[in-house]
Amino acid sequence: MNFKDKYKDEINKICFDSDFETETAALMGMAANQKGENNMSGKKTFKIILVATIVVAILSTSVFAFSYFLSARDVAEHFGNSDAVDSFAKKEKGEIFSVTDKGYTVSFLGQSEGKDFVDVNGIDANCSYFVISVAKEDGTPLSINDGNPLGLSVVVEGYPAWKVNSWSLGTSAQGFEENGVLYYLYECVSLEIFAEKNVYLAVYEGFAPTTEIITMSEDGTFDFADDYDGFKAMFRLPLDKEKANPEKAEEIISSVINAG
Amino acid sequence: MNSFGTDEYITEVVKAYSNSLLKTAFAILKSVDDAEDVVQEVFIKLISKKPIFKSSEHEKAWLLRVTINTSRNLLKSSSRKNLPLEENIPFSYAENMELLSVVMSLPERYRTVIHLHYYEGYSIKEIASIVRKPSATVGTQLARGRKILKEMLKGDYSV
Repeated sequence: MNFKDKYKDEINKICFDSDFETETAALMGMAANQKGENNMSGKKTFKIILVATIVVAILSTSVFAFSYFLSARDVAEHFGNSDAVDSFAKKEKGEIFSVTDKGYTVSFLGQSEGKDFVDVNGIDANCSYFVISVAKEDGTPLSINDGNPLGLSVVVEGYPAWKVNSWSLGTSAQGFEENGVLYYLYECVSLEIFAEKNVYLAVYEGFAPTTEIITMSEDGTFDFADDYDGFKAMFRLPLDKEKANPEKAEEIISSVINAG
Repeated sequence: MNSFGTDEYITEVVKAYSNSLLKTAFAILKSVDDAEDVVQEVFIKLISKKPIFKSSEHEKAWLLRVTINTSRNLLKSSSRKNLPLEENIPFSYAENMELLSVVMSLPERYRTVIHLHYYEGYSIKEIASIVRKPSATVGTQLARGRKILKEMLKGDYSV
């Protein structure tokens, strides 16, 4: 056998992941649906004043935000909308979850359902909205122009993260920076309908949540991959199980999974 | 050719080029996991950047160029250099991969050109166009790579 044939024969013996093409095609499909910066699904971009309004509403339910990061009134006044704080349905103050890892502090600041907003144009009653903040642990200011240094995705217990995630569920995101901290507002399909299962907000270093970042056990629970050494956070969303709609949830999941 | 960005296009392009890109990335990185990461990144860049191609040959050349550049960037990255010893385990060649292990022991610039010439079948001029180097440089790298291989293979194969 000559060198060329022998070299081809031996390098063709290298085995790659049997799911590589399927997984790669899925990721490319997600990228193809992503249009514009900070917009995962190609849906509308919020006007900045609406972003501030929604963030204010969510932060106003957050004890943590008032104490540490950002006063809801400060945000409202920054965007010239100081009436926003008083214009929403009152909610019980929720718990804040925060993770510091690999030099970043990421905080899940709160969540609201679209139908809970009162008289706010542009809000979709069938959507969920949630806010996260990203800050450097050492206080170095971050710039919105540099984009979010971390990836984020909703993941639903029992469904592979690389298949059912923020891209396939149709999530829009918009961010702004205040005092060197980045705030991101996410809009996605109503997560309440999935409340029968655990729904998480995964934060990691990367684009989409591939199996090299997030793995799923046989019982449907998630974990970060053994070989993955980047930022890790998995916030369980406080969803009201009484609002679950298993039929609607299954319909959405089936359309995502069958989309290929 | 299917419309760019459609599911049909994505399936077609992944099926058509995955093998070539993975093997090329492996030839540079000597790691299956790193090669898969790089090639996934390259395909996503394809969708994000939406380049316009004159032909399928042009498309493949673009993909190979980006794969080579991305692989070389990963090789140079400090995070890869600072991996703990237990995470930087070299690829283990089976007994029937002796020639491959010899090729992989060449300096990267030689084994990349050797791979593109012998596995992909590209001429010196075509390789020069892909890697954006003068033909003379590519010719020299190929000649030097062949010379080292002849010495190491001790005439077992005609290079």
